[in-house]
Amino acid sequence: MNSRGPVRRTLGCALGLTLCATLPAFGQAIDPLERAWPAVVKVYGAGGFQGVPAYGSGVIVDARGFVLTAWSIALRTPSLRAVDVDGRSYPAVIWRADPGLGVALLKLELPVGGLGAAKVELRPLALGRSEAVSPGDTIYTLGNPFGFVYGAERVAVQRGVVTTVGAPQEDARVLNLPERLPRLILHDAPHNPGTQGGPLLTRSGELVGICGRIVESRATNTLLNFAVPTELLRDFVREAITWRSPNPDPPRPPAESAAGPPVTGLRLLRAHLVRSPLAYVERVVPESPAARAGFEPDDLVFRLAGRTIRSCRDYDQVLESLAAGQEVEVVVKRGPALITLRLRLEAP
Amino acid sequence: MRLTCFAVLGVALGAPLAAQSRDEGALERVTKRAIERVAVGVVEIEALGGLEEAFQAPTNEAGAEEGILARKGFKQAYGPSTGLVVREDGWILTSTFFLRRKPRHLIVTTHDGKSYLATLAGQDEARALCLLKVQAKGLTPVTWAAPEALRVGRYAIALGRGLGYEHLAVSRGIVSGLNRIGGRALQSSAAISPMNYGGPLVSLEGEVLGILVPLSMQGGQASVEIYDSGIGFAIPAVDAVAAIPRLSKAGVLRPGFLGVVPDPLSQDGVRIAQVSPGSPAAQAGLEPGDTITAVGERAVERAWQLRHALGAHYAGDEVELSVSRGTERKTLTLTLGAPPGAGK
Repeated sequence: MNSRGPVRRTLGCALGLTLCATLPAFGQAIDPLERAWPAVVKVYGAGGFQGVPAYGSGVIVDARGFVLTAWSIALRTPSLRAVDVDGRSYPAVIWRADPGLGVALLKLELPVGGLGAAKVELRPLALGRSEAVSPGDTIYTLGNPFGFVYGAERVAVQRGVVTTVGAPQEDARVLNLPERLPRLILHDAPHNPGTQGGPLLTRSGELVGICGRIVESRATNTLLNFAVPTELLRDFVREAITWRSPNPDPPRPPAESAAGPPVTGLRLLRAHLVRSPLAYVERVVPESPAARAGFEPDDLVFRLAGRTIRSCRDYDQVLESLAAGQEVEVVVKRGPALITLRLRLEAP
Repeated sequence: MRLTCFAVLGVALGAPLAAQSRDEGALERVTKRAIERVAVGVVEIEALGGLEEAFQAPTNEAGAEEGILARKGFKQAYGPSTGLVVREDGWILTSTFFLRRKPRHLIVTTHDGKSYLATLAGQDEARALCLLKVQAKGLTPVTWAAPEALRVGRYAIALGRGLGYEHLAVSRGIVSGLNRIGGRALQSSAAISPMNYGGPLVSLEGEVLGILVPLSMQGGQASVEIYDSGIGFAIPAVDAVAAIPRLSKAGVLRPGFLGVVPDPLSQDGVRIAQVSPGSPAAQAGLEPGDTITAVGERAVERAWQLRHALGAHYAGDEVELSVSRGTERKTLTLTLGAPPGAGK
């Protein structure tokens, strides 16, 4: 675990806390929140329309005033600001954004230390090792749900466990997930508007994720609490900090309206509106890869390359994601049996 | 710095903090060990065809797909479901959640990635359970917890396959209550939803306290309002185990219906306010004003106790009622019916 950045003892919790990085030695203890508190900011953007909250949370990751937060259209305002743990309010700008990953790096405008002006020392939290996170791990989230925590009031803490980790299992658009998120952490501490952008911490206080906006799973009809793992953020932060000025034209954010994003890729999902039958084989073309693999008419394709095929639509979608030359496993139902076939895909 | 402790979990003293930190580490370790222990007996169930073929993305009035803020209307989760291996020779216990779609094919995939076609052997409408059979040998059944392990306030881990990830989806809460929904279900604060219906609620020892079911507070089918709300239900291990042999033979088990409306002010026996015409109670000659004092060996003094005593039985079960009318006392044996409208 990392312990970059200055470590402060604060008035409230000065008794015998050792902020060491690994498990505490005998008689020592870690307050998992102690290092995180000073690094969490409340973020205030603009809007509050179409269900997009104007407020959120963020994590100071660099003492020069860089703050990681969840990407949101509400950040795109000249009046963007952040409030730290001591209640100081800073104007902020979007330094760099990656809507595809669902995060943005803000830069706080720190007061210039002059005569009579106290120099502000920020206490950043280093990006930890999300690679080590696995289901069942205890986690904490810190954030400002519903935006009702103001000034120097401390943000709300929730404790839960990691539900699962891995690549998103559904079409990203359906979930309202950021588009290019190769891996995520799901957990069971509920997200609310304003939680997004706050830190996901391990039980020892290591920063392993940035909480995302609220997303919905079609597979379960439930809301999912996801965080962007820090392993995906290291390069983004490292690169973003090297720039000398904010990107004057941050990439256009995905619309977060309830009506869904107006992207052409969504047309495929319109297929939900029509009846899409089970993936039964009608005919096997002679001499084709399917014929060589041993397919027969009336086989019901159930699994293709590890993905469950519930309909012809699923079959089309999975097939599109595969490349010619690949050999994939296909599980079919033939009469009362399930049979696994190996299919070598060919170029069209 | 001001001591504004708005939502502080941190503990200001070293010693309790050390204890919390140590306990948290231990809790995490036993949680993961428990998950690992039970995982081999947890299967994924894919339900194909049926209503799913006609699944429609819900739309609002403007024709746009519904978002988070407009969660109403018909919506059927289409992800996989979860089940428990209850016998090594291919018996799988799960919830009735996916049966709503009237699927045409059921495919069970065990922890080692092997898939089997499954048939529906029986279902329990009172407890939202069903039993599947696959042609397999040597499966690893889950370990059921002893009844004493089921205590309010103890940690409970909910596990499921509904999100479709490689890992079992984990949520942890506690056992919040016992004898819910006519005495049929236990209540847990873990996140319970289509993510884990049919999956196990597990103790920190890795033993199954109960099987998660889509029941609501009123006993009907759970809907989105209570998904992951901190209020979820499971059928306790002892009842689930008892249901298995009956499910393997019975086809459909329905809640047992007597047909009396108890006087809510009853004490020292349940006074009958009304008797439904044609019901088993009416056929047995029960009348308003009669007082039921026991169901079998189980004494009942108040209406909720009668509800619990009957909740343990299914339609078709014979029960013995101790009844008093004035100074007269007698014992009636009658056969419980199915509730009006059941099975439609």
